[in-house]
Amino acid sequence: MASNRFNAFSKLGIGLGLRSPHIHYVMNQRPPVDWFEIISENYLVDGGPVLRRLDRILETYPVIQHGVGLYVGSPQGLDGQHLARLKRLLARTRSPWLSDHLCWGAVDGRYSHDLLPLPYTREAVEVASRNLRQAQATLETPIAVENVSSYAEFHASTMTEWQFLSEVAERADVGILLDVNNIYVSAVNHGFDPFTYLENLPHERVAQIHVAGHARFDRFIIDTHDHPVCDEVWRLYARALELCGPTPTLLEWDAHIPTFDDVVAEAMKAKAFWPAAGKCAHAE
Amino acid sequence: MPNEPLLELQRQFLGELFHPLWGESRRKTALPDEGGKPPACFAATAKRLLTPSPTLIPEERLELYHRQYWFRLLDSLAEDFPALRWLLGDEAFWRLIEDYLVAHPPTSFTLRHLGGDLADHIARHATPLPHAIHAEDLARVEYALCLALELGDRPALAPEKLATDHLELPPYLQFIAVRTPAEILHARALRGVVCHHLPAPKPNASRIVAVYRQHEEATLRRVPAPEHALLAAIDRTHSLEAAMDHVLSLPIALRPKDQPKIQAWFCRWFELGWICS
Repeated sequence: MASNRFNAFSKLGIGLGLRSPHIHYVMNQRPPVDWFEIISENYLVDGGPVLRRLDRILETYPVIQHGVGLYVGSPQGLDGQHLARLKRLLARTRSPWLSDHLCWGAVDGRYSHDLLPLPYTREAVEVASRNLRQAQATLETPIAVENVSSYAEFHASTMTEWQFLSEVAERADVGILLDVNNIYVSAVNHGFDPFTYLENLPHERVAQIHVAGHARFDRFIIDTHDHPVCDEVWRLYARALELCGPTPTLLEWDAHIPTFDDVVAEAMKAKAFWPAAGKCAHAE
Repeated sequence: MPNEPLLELQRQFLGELFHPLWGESRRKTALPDEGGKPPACFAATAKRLLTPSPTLIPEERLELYHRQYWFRLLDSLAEDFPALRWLLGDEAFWRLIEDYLVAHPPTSFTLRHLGGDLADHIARHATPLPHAIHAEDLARVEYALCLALELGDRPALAPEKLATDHLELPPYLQFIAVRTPAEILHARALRGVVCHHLPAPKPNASRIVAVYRQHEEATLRRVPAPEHALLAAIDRTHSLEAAMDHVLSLPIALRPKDQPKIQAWFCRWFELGWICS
């Protein structure tokens, strides 16, 4: 079992991303779900119904904070106010670990509202690991950094993405939120072998796994989170579990969201891969 | 191959996302289809920063991020300003939104604050808008409705403590000064009533619309000037006695004989949770 210091020795199983179309159903029906992941930034508010609904969810379920706005790849450093808001939310959720993306998204106070890819350079390793160390120290909570899907690669890169992710995680001493759909999307868009990516990570740092669907076009794939998980991504997930052991896993479904039961059914497909992984060397 | 320092690379990359949409990407949106071409710098930046993929040239790769940026922001503003869109009609609305986003790239971590400068942008709009004053008022009210869902709460005060305790209004309660019946237009917009006639704005008259939360929803209603004066005095003085002394000294239609009316206001304010400790 990938129960390690990067996920606060969690034994959580299969979780779901908590999305607005399902919140009232979850609050009122309390369906059996191991845990929910929230987008932290949606809850960085001063008050109101969003926080009251979150409190209702917290009465029943473990909630893990997943961020989209830390921008650890920013050479201009982290936003102190953002960190403070995240810390206030952590006091509310008691999220045992927190995740965000290995990306950048803002420069000089102007925001892209996107998870933009970094060049895989020594400078970017330094910047991201410094920011992650600062975030982890400030938030006093284990952090797992997630690999993003990408549509562009930089001339400036001097290493592979998996080398970059590994080095940042090691130097910052943080966990990895391994998004196997993102690996697949980037592999198709950039033409690398996704299994090579998986094999060459520090598996002992994997705190959590994401699975999701994507949209396939003629010449590229976009990470839309609006489809079921495809077979190729499930195969990557199976291999990730062989390498890491059964790991807290979350299904992301963010657009064209089906019924709650359909999302649960898609997420529970992950369970089928767990027993085999339990026999692997890394498992308990 | 060039090796840009990280910050400079990011500045160049992000700067290209702020160009207006063109071509096929633009036609996928509701923006007026004016064709257009990418600025020359776009392809040059892409080529300088990005490698080609097996299937895409650098310019096409950068364009994927460019269109995502615009699609996300356009969707967000359309969701936050439905009444403004109703007032202006699609073409004028989308022109305004594009113009606004070019002039005001996002400066907040959250898309919830994306429209924060829209009303002021309309007020300064270089190209005259149809119904510009109505549009400005509606933009102000609709942004306040967005904020009403996230601003803070305060504990409600027990009515028997009204005369003795420190008084506060809840942070989510916002008073918006408008020159048009924005609350009426907003209600019409939500009902989808066709906009045949708009009352003329009164440039020198200030109408107050309260925007607040009720039953966990953002809502609004007009607040007459004397009622607003008393609420504003409570907000400023935090004391019933001081607030009453203040409003009775103002040249507004509120006198000691209005006590029943004032009592009715307080009853309503307590019901709404507007009187807090």
